Amino acid sequence: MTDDEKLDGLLRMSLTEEEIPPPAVQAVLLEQIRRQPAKREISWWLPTLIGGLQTITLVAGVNFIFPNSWLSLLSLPTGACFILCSVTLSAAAQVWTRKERNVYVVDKL
Amino acid sequence: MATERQVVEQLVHDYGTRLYTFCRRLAFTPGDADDLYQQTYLRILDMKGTLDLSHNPAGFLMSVATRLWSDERRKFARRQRIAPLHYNHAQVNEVPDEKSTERMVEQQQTQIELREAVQQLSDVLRVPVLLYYMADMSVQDISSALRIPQGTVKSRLHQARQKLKLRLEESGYDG
Repeated sequence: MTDDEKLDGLLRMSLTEEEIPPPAVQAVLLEQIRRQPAKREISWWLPTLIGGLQTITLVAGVNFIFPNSWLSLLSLPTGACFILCSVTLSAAAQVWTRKERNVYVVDKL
Repeated sequence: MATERQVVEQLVHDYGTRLYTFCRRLAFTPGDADDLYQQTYLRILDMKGTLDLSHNPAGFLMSVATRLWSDERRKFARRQRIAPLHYNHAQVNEVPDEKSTERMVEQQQTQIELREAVQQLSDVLRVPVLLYYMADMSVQDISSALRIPQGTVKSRLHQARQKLKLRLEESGYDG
């Protein structure tokens, strides 16, 4: 056995010498876990849907107030563009954050 | 929701001791270790639905603990200055004073010295050492957890080993 292997073994043995969590700490932790309020997680697409409906309402409003005007004509593609952008960005953000969460990283070291 | 809580509770039962040991080595005082230990599980609870426990759950838990510790390092460092950690050397004396146990006592003394030496390493060297030896994480896993290149992890582990070896040699350890 080489010196490095001996040191490895010694390091592993000394660092992994178990320390039992104090019962009080353990009890408080379990209590906190049980008491943790359930969080409601809204689906990622819900804000996008609400935003889309708002945009549609706005476009409909513009068309109702200023029918057959340049503004009403412009509002249709602009609104569609906004909706498309929000859907794309939301989906991209969802994919991005999922990746981030899966690889829980430690930075600033 | 109860299911996630049960999963976390199960993690407390299955890996609590290992994580607590890790926290004791990472943080400087028992109080900090207790805080870190509890915070880690509570953070895990917040991460419900995103847990990936298929590969080395203990390593995952220790990575989360390292992240938390890293975030609050200043606070912990300040506390450490106020109340530095001293290992309890008395445990060596608890071993019966017989000739046959001399070797065991010596080994325990070496282990204590080694733990102290690890504790005195700088953070950049200490954290990879703890993750490598305590969490059984590979160089690649440590590299992704700490967001540093694999070469850097290897180099830091090598540097740490050299320092520890030197420290042990200084105190009379001959391997």
